[in-house]
Amino acid sequence: MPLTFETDKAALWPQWAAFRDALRRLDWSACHAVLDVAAAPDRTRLISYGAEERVPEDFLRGLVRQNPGDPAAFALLGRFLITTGWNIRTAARAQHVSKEQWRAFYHWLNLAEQVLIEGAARHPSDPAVWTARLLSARGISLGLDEETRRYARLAQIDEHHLPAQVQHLQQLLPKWSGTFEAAHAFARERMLAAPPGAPQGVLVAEAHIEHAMELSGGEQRQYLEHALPDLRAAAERSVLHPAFVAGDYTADLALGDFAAIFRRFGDREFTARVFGVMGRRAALDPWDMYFDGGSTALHAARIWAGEK
Amino acid sequence: MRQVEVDGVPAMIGAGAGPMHAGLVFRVGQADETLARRGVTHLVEHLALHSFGVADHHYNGTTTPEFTYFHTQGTAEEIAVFLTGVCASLRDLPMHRLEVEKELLRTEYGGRQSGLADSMALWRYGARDFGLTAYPEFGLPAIGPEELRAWVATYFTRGNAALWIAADEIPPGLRLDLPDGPRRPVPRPSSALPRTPAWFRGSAGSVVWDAVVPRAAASGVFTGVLERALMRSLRQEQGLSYSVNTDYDPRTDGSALITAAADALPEKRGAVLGGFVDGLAALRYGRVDEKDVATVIGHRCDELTQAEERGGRLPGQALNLVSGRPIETLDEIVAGIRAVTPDALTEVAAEAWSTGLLMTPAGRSADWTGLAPAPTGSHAAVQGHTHRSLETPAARLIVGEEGVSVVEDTDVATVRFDTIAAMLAWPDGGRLLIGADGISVRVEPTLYAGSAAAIPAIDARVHPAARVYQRPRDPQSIPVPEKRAATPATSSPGRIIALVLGIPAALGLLILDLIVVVAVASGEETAILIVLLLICLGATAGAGFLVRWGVQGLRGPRTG
Repeated sequence: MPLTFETDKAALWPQWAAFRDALRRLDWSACHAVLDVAAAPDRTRLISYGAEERVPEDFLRGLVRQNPGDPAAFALLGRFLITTGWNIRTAARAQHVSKEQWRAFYHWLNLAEQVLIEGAARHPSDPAVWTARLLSARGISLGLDEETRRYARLAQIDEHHLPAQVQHLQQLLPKWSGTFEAAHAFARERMLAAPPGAPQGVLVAEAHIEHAMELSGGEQRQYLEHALPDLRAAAERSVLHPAFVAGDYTADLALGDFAAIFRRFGDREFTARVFGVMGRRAALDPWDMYFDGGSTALHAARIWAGEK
Repeated sequence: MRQVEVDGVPAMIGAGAGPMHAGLVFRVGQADETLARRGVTHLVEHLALHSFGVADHHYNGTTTPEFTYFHTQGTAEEIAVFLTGVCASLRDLPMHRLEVEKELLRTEYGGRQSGLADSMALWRYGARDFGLTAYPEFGLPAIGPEELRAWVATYFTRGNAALWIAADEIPPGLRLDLPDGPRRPVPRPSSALPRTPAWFRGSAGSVVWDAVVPRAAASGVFTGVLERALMRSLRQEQGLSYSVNTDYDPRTDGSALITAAADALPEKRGAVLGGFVDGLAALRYGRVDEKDVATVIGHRCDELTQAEERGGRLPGQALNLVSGRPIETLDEIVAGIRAVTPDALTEVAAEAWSTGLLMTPAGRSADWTGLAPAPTGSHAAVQGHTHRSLETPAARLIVGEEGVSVVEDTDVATVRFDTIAAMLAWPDGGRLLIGADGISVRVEPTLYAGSAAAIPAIDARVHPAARVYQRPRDPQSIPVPEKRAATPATSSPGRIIALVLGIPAALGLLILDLIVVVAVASGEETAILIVLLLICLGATAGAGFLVRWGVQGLRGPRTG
């Protein structure tokens, strides 16, 4: 197992590099050249990452105006407005968000909704548009029922659309408006519906880590112990399954998710097994999600996993 | 079908396949009334029919926002006797029946199911013209013989009438002896909405939306296509709604009101709202299902053809005659409907969206849709003497030269004397003032310190024509203050605050932004009043009520 990693998203994922560079040049046809050949979940992720680039809003608005027949333009503008709002809100728990932050957050998310209402109306079969609508629905508290309606619409288009499944799982958690039972049930059901070796096992892993993070002390230790066999089984069905295909960014994300979550569970054996599949490729997003300082946590986890 | 004239009244006649029927229609309805004389047309209708008692043949009278008609089904002789008799009664209303008929109307109102469309009218138009259907017949206590005669002389005239007869010949002996008078134009619809599209928070479980569009074949087809699209997405595909209804209501001014409603289980309200908004968006952005269009066009043409055969198109033609609209043949209408294209529906959908008014299910906002919130209170309070609430510390009543206001925190409800629609007055001093915009203020001397002394000043400033004196209330129903701790208006459940536009705080469904002061009272007249004020509440019973418009061609008919 190597001790150093390639963590640059652009190096790990040439499509992202091409899309990002095209977007920075405001070259929409070059953006399209990438999006048009990307697999559906990759396309949704490209758009979501792209929305974090500092692209002028006017440019994106212009795209939508000039190309109402282009669903990617709606998805990107919608995601961009959502990201703008969420950056103001920050990821803090609700009680730590100021009144002004909330006001701005709602303002931007409402704008996003209005773009996405049109986007979904014109392009009802676009998974990136519907994935964005899951985020905005959750952000402005349209309710579990409305978010679920949207997820159901999306699932009719692509029942294994992982970027949307990850969003829907969040809504199903108690911190938004669901229950752990509902979250675990959804994660398990979607994992089993996907073929063995598919990345959907991360849903089970994420439901467990979210559950564990709501607990503390003895309760948390107890939970980690109780959930570990299930977590291991999920890994065996996805990233540790012989049918799992490593080497692309979707795989990197799933592997990173499992590695980081096994590390949080203190499961040295399975953390090491996942690192074994990762090789030198490491997506940082999962480490940033579950640790302060993702890169440091990644390297520390690798060393920890290699210790006998 | 051909046009003739009977005693100077234009008439459409033509034999149908079904039983012989006929009707006499006048261009007057609720929209012509004022809130303080609300019910006068219906009262005339009742009095005019009184002499027929329990006739063997079927007859009826109907009052709608724009029209009042008397219709019957029977032999030529029965029809002649009925319509001749109606005209004779209108010439000489049986005033000895006045009080009894008023009682009957109150009973009829108490027994009717209030439709969700009623509260839409209130929010769209206010307490005037086309908004008046939202209110009970408030004016009944104030209407006397002189007023009735004047109303008849103005509206129930030869020049303001039309006739239809589903027969080849005019029944022998038919005489329409009506006073002369000109055709009366329909009032222009007011607006209580500074901006459209708009939304307001409902208190029922349903989503209701209405929109004003041109009266045209494409608008009618759009309504049918919308119903199919919503039915498919909300009911068949996702099981969110049980009933989805739409209604297309053409008006004489060349516009039409489209209404659509969908009910929702309590745990599905957000999803029904979301699906509804998406359904409207799909149509206006060009996702019109061509099969739906073909189906709706086919149905409408079939219905019209069958109606033509039965003589069912005659009443509509009589309405056109009395409102000066062109008479179209079946072929012309069918050709117009068949020419409707999906693109034309997209245009209607876009126009409908721009004029639309959306009522959300209870507890749901529609901010995120981009619609403008409909006003739920007044911009400013009047200057004047302040009376503090004996119940809610933050609330106060202000009585000034220009009007009255109730203020609680940032919520303001003002009724100005120069735009007041009606003031209901009880002998104990209680007053309900309702402004033309639908905002109302209730003044209960028992609930505001020192306000009893202000009542004479209020009375003096309200135009006599706007006053409606009520019978004494049951003493137990006169409100008494319930002392409560200072709580934000959002959570105060009690008697004092916060209802505008007819949404009741009193029953705990407190819609924050809405302000009208309500003190719950009961007793005969106030029971009616409460029914109205609680109009949105009445709608909670939901699904069944939605059907109310769908069936009949005329919206909100009150039969009597």
